[in-house]
Amino acid sequence: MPDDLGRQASGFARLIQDLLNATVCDGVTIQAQVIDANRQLVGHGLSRQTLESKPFRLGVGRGREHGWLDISYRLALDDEGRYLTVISSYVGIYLEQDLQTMLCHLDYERNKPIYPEAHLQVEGACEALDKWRLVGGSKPKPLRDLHFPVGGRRYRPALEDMIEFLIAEKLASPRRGWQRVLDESRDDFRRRQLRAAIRRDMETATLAVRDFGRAGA
Amino acid sequence: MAADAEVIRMSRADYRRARDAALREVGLTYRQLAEQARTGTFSSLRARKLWLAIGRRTPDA
Repeated sequence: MPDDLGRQASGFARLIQDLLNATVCDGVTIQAQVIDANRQLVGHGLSRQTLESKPFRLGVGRGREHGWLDISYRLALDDEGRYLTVISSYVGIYLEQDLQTMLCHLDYERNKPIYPEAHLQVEGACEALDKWRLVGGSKPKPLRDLHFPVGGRRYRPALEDMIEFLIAEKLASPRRGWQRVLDESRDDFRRRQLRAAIRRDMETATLAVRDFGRAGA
Repeated sequence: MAADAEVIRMSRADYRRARDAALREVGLTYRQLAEQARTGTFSSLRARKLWLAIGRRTPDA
């Protein structure tokens, strides 16, 4: 099992690395830390001494360098002990390497209490929020402390969506051919999510297939 | 040809050392970080990131 764990974690890290280097980065390296079946970490800048991922530059070729991206995944074997599944993830977008220059971050944490498992937090000032009368007389909170829900466990944004966001908003220069690579990678992600959704709710999936069969007959 | 991703195999002792070093750097104990996670209010973005990386303790870590 340890060898298989290493292969799966390495394969996952390679997918991320290849996606980044085919879209908005140049030569970024992604490491996979393999500890045990309950814990593998994937990100940039990981070593035997550090569990904390480090930001890396957005920029391709001789083009202009833009901001910084920071990604981190925690993986574990699924309930059947066969496939790695994402337990938590972090995608941060910063102006500089310093976390204090954060634009936004997308977090996912399975079984998270209080806030949505998948949510987006955005840095910035918001006059409306400053004036909002919070429940129970709570003191005002900054915009970055709001957890905007983004789709839940199965339908959360993929890393590919964040990369597309960077390109669409002109926050990063894309590499030629980026769209095809990104679309294929995102389709794979969506298919894996759909398979997982079906596996977790076979009854609904069976009913849906039966209905589609009737409609097509 | 694209390079393979580096795999770092860590023993549980390696992991605990790295986890404890990261907690020292953010100035929190595990219990304090877990409490921040419970209430959803982290003292820093770095603390938030660290929680996502280490999360709840497993029986053997």
